[in-house]
Amino acid sequence: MDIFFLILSGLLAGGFASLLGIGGGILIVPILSLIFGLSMHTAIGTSLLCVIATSVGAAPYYIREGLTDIRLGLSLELSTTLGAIIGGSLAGVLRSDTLSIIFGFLLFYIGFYMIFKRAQSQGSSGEAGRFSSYEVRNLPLGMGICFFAGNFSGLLGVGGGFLKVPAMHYPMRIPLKKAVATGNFMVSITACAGALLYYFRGDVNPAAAAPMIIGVLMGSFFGSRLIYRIKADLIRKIFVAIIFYSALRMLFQGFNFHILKF
Amino acid sequence: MLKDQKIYFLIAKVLRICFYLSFGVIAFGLILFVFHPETRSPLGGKTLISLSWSPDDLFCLNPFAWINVGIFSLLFTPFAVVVVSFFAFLFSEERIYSLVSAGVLLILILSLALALR
Repeated sequence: MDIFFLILSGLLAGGFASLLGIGGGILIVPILSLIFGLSMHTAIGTSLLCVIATSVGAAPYYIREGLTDIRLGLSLELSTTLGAIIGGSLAGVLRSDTLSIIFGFLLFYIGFYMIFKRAQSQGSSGEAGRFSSYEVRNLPLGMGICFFAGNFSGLLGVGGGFLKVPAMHYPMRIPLKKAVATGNFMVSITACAGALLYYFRGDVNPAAAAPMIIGVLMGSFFGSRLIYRIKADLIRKIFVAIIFYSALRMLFQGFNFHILKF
Repeated sequence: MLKDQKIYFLIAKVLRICFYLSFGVIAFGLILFVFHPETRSPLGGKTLISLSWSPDDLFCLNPFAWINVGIFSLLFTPFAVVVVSFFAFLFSEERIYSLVSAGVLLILILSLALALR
């Protein structure tokens, strides 16, 4: 029965992730920790595997479409993977409730980021696509921001796209679609650097990861096909509500306030 | 000399092959897990992690061995991508990016070394 619910949860997380163009980690960790009761360390390690799967599944499509800048992605990975190793090592010495609290604050940030991103995308006029030419600017600053994205990825089991994509789009002036595709390509390499630490530390439950990975991949598949049929605004509102609720639950869990129950 | 598009398509191909391989093996392991006579909840802790599986376990259709192999192939997909990028850029005489790929590969190896420590 647990297998069925894990697949279903992965399906929902993957579907949301695909519909909103985000990594699934910010949903997978709260699901595994709050609903299935895994420790934060195991939830994070398992989430990193799902994040790799999502990225590896989507990356070939973006590369073939000419949207991914592999050279830029690899250059940024020099600092991102280092950040992920430091984040993953730090998580090994932090208590589970401390990770819960940090994750809660991260969810609040992402919730506000989603609201801000929506307001901004409504205000923007066009978007340079695959055939546009561009010049990479502020590479050292981008690498610096990506280092922190790697930190968050290794520490909290997320992809880190919420930092990588803005870093590429704003200071580095990469067109948004290219930034999203390049960020997706980078995620699997970043998550791998962190996941190795969790896996060999024993902080991954493969039997829980397997159904979750299958669910997430199915969710991304269906999500990408539903993208033009579902109102993106409604999905975003539901997602933001879930994120804020999960943020509160993670903070309550971290501070050991068991007020709310599912 | 490899053209730009060739390099990108090669990397996309490696990603696709690794994706189908790991997805297929994990799915097969999961099916075995469901029909395994000693199936318990997958949320039962960390005891399922085993790095000591052997080819015999795979032939005996041990679900944990198959799931572990699938997860291993997923974990090493980024390694494969970076190695292929390194050689692709090397053969296309883009020394800077072959060095960048080598740097990323070294960091991934560092992560593996730290993990195995």
